[in-house]
Amino acid sequence: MSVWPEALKIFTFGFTSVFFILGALSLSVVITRALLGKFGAAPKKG
Amino acid sequence: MADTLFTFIHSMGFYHLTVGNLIMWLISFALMFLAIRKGYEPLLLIPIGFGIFIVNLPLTNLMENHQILHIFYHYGLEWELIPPIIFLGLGAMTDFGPVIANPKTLLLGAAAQFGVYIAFFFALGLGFTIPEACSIGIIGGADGPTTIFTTVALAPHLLGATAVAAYSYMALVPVIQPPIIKMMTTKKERLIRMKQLRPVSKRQKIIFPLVTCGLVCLFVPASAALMAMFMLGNFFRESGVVERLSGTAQNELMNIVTIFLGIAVGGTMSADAFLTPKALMVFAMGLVAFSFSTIGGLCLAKLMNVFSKEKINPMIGAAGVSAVPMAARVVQKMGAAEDPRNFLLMHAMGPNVAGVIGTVVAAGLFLTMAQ
Repeated sequence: MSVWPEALKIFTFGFTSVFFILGALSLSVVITRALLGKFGAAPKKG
Repeated sequence: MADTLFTFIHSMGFYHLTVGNLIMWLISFALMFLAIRKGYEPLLLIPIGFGIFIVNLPLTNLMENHQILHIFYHYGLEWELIPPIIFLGLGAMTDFGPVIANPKTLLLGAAAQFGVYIAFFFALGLGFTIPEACSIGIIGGADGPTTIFTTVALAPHLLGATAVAAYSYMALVPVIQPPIIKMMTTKKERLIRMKQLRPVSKRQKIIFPLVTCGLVCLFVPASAALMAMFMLGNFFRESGVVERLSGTAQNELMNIVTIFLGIAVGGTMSADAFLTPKALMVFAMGLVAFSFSTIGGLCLAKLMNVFSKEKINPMIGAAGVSAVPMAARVVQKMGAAEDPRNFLLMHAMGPNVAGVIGTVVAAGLFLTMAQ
């Protein structure tokens, strides 16, 4: 049986998922920053 | 008398030495030479090199059941204990400030996983099975512990080759990346200066490991062992109240498991297991993976510049291959060579540490889909 259909699935699903998850993480950083800006103290150099 | 003499000679390792053993000794000496003389990844290459040397001493049977190398291998690697502990230490050493300051660099870390998937396809084309191809592809993430973690789960017979390939190419980042970066970028792009990163609050740094751990482990539970330990180590660091734990994770504990890791990986490289055409192909594929990962990061950085008003220096995309902090240092050095007043190191650290997260995610997805 050919491995290529399965391989294509791993590539398509895998690579887009990596982007999606790191994109979601990036968004969560922005949201956290906004929430801390709204409800937290002014940022100090950490 | 002659019989006794023959039995005595027969009981010596010298009698059983093979050409394969001698070749493996040469490989081990080469790795130890690179570590000692050139300073390439000495913490890993010294124990790996020595492990290769001793496992190729005939009749010592150090990798047989209940022998010392097998114990390290069985409990450290087969039980998947050592890579997560190394990640605990890495987390305690990592400053995610540059990523938090410029979160779009996380996408550069994702783009730099391109080589992982390209090498995966190439490996399939060469006749490897899907689990083997996943283990080979992950070398492109330039992350030793993740490569080992994935290979042990999917293709343990390739462990020696993938681990040595991953650590060798990580050590060769300053040699492999500059020509690719030069080929893919113009002088004008390499001269782009970036604005200083905004300050990041302590509170943001404390929240980041919690959010990252929750998010990644919920999306890809198979990556939890590595990601959870990585973020726990970082949480130790950023909480600021457990300096002893943070110090232990990044020093004593890390040093101890590094010894076990190196010697166990070296122990898998007996002549019979390593001197095969497959091992050579793994090395070739590792180079493909590494090169395409660099290209992936560079291309996305260039693409971002098309849509963004605030230009980024595309060279920082190349740092998306993990290899922390060597890949970021390469970018800094190349930037400074074009313009001595261009400081790119902290900008490059963003994609660099994002690449570690990206590689763990890619590994988790491989484990989910190929196991």
